[in-house]
Amino acid sequence: MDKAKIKAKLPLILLLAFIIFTIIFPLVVKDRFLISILIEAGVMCLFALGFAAVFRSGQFSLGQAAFLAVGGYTGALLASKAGLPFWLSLLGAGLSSAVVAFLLGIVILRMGGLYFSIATLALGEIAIIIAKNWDSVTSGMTGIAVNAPIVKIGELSINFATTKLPYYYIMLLLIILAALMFWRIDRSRLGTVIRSVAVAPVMSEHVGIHLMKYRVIIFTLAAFVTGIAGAFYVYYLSWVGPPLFAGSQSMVALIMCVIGGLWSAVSGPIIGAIIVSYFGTMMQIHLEGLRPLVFGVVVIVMIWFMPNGLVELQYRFPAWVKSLFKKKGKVPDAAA
Amino acid sequence: MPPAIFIDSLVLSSMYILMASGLVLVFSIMGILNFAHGQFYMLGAYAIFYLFQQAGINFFVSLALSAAIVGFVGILVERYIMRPIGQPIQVVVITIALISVFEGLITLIAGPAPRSVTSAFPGTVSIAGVSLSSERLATVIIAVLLIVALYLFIQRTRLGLAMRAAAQQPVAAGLFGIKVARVSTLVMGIGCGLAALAGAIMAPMFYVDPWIGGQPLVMALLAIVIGGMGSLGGAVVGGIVLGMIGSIAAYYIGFWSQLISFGIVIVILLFRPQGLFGQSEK
Repeated sequence: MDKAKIKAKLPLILLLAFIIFTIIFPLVVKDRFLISILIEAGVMCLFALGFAAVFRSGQFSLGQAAFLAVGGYTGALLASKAGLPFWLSLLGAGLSSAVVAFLLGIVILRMGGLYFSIATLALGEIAIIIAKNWDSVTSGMTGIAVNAPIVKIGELSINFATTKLPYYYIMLLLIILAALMFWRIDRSRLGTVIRSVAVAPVMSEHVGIHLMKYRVIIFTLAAFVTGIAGAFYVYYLSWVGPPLFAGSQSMVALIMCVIGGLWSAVSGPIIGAIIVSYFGTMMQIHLEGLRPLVFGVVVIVMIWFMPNGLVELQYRFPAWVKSLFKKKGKVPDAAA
Repeated sequence: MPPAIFIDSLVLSSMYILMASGLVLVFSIMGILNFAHGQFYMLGAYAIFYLFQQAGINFFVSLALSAAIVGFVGILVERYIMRPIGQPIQVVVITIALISVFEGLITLIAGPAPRSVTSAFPGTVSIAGVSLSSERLATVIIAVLLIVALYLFIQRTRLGLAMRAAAQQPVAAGLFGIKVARVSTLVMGIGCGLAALAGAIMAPMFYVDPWIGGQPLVMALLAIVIGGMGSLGGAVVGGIVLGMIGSIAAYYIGFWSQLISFGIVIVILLFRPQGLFGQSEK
C-alpha cells in the first residue's frame, strides 16, 4: 500500500485502535474506582453528545438535564414498578424522553435563540419541581430505588450487582451506537441541512428548508439519547432522585462540549466529557474545598489557549512538531 | 391579602429588577448572557457583610463601596478575561466557569457557613394603621431610587446616550467616535455593580452563603424574557410580575407557586415570543 492510502486510512485505524484499547482497558487495569469514574464519564458522554447535537442545530438548550430526568424516572419506574427487563426499560426511557421532547419541541422551538434557551431553563426547573413534589410517582426527595438488573443472554446470565464491568461494556456500546448515529447524521444531507439551519436560518428558509422540522428532528433524537443515558445512570446508581438532574448539569455539558471542541459533532463532546468528568472527579478527591476554584480556573485557561477545544490540537500539534524540526535544521530551506 | 405580603412581593420584585437590569444592560451591549451574574450578587452580599457587619461602616457608604468594588471586579473580568477571548460561545462558557471560581474563592475566604447581616433599619413603622417592617420598606425605597437613577443615567446623560448607541448600532456608534469597547467595559462594571447592590440590600433579610447566587440569576433570566430581551422597561415589568407571583401566589397556594413562575414564562413566550414589551421599546 502506498503512503497516500495509509494516510487516508489513518483516522479509521486510530479509531479502531482506540476502541480496542477501551475494550481491553478494564481487563488489564483492575482499578475498580477508575472504572466507575469512566462509567460516569460515559453517561456524560451521551449527555454531551445530545447537547452538542442540539447546539449544532443553532439552539442552546439550558434544560437538557430535564430529559436526563425524564429518562431516569421512566427507566426507574419501568424497572421497579412494571418489572421490565433492562434493555426494554432503557428503550422505554429513551422513547418517553423523545416523545416529551417532540411535544415540547414543536411548541418551544418556534421561539428559537435565547428565548428557547430560557424556556428550556424554565422547563428544567419545572422538571425538578415536579420530581420533588409529585410524591405518589417520584417519591419526592427520597427517590426510587432500582435493583441491579440481571441480563440473560442465552444461557449466560450476568448479575450487575456483583461487578461493574457489564455497565462499562454496555456504556461503551451505547456510546459507539450514539456516536455512529450522530456521525452519520452529520455526514448526511440531513447534517448539512441542520448546519445551514444553525448558521443562516433566514437563508435556509428562503431556499425552502422547513426550519422547525429539522430543529424538532434533532431535538427529539438528542432527547432519545439523553433519556437512555438517564435511565442507564439510574440503573448504575441503583437510585433516582431530584439531585441527579440539577439544572447546572446542562451548563456542565456546555463546558464539556467547548473544552472538547464544538467543530466536530462527535469526537469533541466525547473527548470533552471524558476529560472534564475524569479530572473533575479527581479534583473532587484530591483538592476537596479548593475544587471549584481550581476547576473554574482550569476551564478558563483551557479556553484561553484552545478556544476551539482539544479537537483543534490534531491540527495544531503536527504544525508544532514541524516547526520544531524546522528550527533544528541547520540549512534553511532557501526556496521556502 | 395582608399588607406584609404585598411589601414582601415588592422586596422580591426589586431584587429581580436590579438583577435583571444589570443582565439586560450587559446583554444589550455585549450580546452575551452573563451566567456569573448571580455570583456578583453573592459578592455584593459578602461585601456588605464585611464592610457593614464586620468593619461597622455606615450602611449607605458600605452600599456604595460594595457596588464600586464588585463593579471593579466586573470591569477586570471584562477587560482581561472576556475581551481577549472574544467569541460569544467561549465567553459564555467563561462566565459559567467564573461561577465556580467565585464560589470557590468565597468559600476559601469566608468559609461555607451561612452568615447573617444585622438590619440597618430595625423596628417597624406604621402607615395608616398598618405596621410594616421598616427594613423591607427601606429596601424597596432604595431599589426604586436606584432604578430611577439608572433610568435617568441611561436616558439623560451623554454616557447613557453612548451606551444606547453602542447597543443599537455598534459599528455606526464607533464611526461617530464612541469607543464601543470602552463602553462595554463600563456597562459590565455597571451591571455587576447593580447585581452587587441587589445582593447588598437583600443580605440583611436573607442569610449569606457562597451559593446564594443561583436563584436570583434564574429569576432575572426569566424576568428579562417576560419583559422582552434588551429593554430596561421590560426588565422592570418582568421583575414585578415574578415578584408578585413569588410571594402572593406562594401565600395562597404554597410551594406550587414556583411552578406558576416558570409556567407563566413559557406561556408568555408562546404568545408573545418577543416578550410583553419586546417591540415597543426598540
